Amino acid sequence: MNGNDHDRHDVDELTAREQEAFAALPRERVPPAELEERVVGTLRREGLLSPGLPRPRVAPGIRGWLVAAAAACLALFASGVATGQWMAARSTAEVVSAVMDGDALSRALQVQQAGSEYVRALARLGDLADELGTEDLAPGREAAQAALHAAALEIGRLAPDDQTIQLVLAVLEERRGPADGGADRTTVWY
Amino acid sequence: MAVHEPSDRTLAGAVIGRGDEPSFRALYRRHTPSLYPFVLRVMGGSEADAEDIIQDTWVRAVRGLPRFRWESSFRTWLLGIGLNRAREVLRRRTRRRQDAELPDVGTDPPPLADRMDLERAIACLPEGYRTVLVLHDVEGFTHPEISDRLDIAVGTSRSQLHHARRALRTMLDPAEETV
Repeated sequence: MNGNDHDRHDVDELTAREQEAFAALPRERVPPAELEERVVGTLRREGLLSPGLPRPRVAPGIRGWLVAAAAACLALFASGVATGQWMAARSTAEVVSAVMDGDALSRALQVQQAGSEYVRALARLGDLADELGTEDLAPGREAAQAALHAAALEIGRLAPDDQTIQLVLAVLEERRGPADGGADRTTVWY
Repeated sequence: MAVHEPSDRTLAGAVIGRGDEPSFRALYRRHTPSLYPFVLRVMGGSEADAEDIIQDTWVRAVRGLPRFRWESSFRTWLLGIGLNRAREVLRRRTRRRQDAELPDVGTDPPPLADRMDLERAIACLPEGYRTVLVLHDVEGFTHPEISDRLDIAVGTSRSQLHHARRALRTMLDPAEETV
């Protein structure tokens, strides 16, 4: 679309007046507002668009332990990296020996897989935050927090000098006050 | 386009990647105001037809975005999709008209005594003439580009434009046969 520069030999050139008339035609026109909603609606139904905003709101009470969960996930990730670095720093013989001894590699893999599944489950729970009330979410929250605490304790046992995990544990212990104690728990553990 | 506004490509990337609705709306609002009058003219001024075609155009565009190689501007690409969709609708109508043995003419022109405005005169042109005239004289496409887009010979494009202009002149000023 480069103008009509190489069409100058048209038999019937436009007169100056005609060119002005064409140039004066509006090139833009705002369509009816409802058309945009129609188009967006069709694209949504076809699965080509998903409403990006507003994002699901998280209740203030849940936010605190989500932050703690995120911190614990980071700690889990960091300990995974540390394990990987330790493995990489050893000679093949030492690694084989370590794997043979404690099957450390496969157990690290299990931790990684379980951690990923834990985060996915939390995300699925978070998707319901807009539809369900705090009370409905309580069992899931309780289960997540208990798993988080148990995981943090285990990481603390693995790395007693790790300040990050000690910080996470301190936050979790603080949140496990009397109100959060065993009497009110609804989760059934298998 | 202001400097801080995301480019078409950035917005399109967000639509492809995560179906981002705000990015789509930004693209829609940027390009529909120029797509709408173009489709409206090709369709002879029917707003209902133009709106249906705009909707189909955007659905096809979003579906086709992952395959768009950005060798032309987004606007040109979108206009091409709109043009193809409009021609499909027009072709279907022509077939129906032929089946019903009705004459192939544009919208019924008003009495010649009334001096028409250019927009209405374009709407009254037969479909083939109208498409070439809109592409050439309104949108600024060259004959080779029109030939490529409409899959017709360059000579046919020139001939259609010649007839379209003659018909326009007759409608706009029957006495002088000029605009």
